[in-house]
Amino acid sequence: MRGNFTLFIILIFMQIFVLNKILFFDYILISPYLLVLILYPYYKDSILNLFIWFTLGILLDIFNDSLGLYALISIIIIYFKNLWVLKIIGNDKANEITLLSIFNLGKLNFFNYSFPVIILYYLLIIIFEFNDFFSFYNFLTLTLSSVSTYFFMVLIQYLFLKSDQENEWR
Amino acid sequence: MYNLLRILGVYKYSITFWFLLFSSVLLLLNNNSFLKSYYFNSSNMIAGKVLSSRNSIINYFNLKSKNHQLLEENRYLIEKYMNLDSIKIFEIDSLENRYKLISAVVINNSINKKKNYITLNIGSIHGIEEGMGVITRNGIVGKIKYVSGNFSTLISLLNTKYFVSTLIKKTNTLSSINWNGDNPDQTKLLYVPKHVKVEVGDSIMTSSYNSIYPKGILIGTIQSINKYINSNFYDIDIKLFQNFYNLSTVYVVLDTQKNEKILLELKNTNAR
Repeated sequence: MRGNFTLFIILIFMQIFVLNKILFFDYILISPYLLVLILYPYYKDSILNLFIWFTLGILLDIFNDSLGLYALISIIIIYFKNLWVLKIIGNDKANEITLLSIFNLGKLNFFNYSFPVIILYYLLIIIFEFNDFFSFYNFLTLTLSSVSTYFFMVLIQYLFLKSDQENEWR
Repeated sequence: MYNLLRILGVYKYSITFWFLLFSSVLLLLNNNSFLKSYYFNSSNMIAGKVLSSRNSIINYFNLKSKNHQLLEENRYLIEKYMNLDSIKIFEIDSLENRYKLISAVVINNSINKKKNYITLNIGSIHGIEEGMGVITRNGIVGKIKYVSGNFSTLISLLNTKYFVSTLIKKTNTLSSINWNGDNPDQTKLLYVPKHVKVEVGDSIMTSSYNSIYPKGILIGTIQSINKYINSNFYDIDIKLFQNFYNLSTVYVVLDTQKNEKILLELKNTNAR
């Protein structure tokens, strides 16, 4: 678990200092912070979790000069994700797994679990940070960003997470 | 009472969720809140320190290009100095008395959002106040929005909510520029009526109407003109001189006669 913690910290630093500034090819926004949100294990009805993610969101907002945006997104995503993961893998397995990674869920399940969360994330970003919601530019940003973020997530997991159940830092 | 507490206990997760959701929406919508202006922006102590230390690392990699930039700027100033004779002396004098520049380093900048902000490494200790203009040799950058002791954030020209009063140099037509959120090299020129003659390549400069920027700072040139829109005004794109991608050193404009001007104008409105 300590190894995962390091990975989480590195990903959040990446979000704040590197990828927050970059828009690849005018359309693609990659968010390592979302990977942290997705990998974070399922805890049933944990109020502490909500507060942790709210504070993390505020921290990101301070660096991004968008007070409330990431806090709002984090809260919505963590709530939605906790409901959604139960639909995908069921209550027993969700309580068992320590990290909701592609290795623990399986490829298909991970796709089913993470892709709607990614889409929701970019929808929220576009609604609150971009101009005129119904435009072709926003539609392209949404689709391209979602797809490339999904591949980014898979890549990071294959690089830095072990494929067995222990999830130690490699 | 006991039942009420029990119900609250059962739904405490949902209640916390809604509470946090509601508070973050409030934070998001309430743009000018006390919290935001004093603690939760990137000009505050902690974020400012972190950002400036990051910047000091990045600076090492940019030293070469920065030296080049300073050299260019020196060259430009020396050129101006040598040509001083050709300009009337009293104009320069009044300019010198009125505006002073404070140099600053950009420690945080973004161009990919619709509402971009920039953080500078100087604050109220160095004499910065809210509402001051920020320029470089290539044009204007923005206006100071929040100030803390050591840092300040400014609303960038690349912000869809920021309008700057401008003049078309050739015809002295009053107009405004505003970024439409697409291309960081371009802005829109607004409120130019169709009877005014404009051409591609005309220079746009600041007007002195809002006492933020000195008059006559060149901003950009007209890149394209669209007459055929259903409006009384042209649809004009401007190519900016200032490159926002590699913004590093900027100057904050200190207008020593600003208060005098505002007080005088206030008298006018009070008398009305």
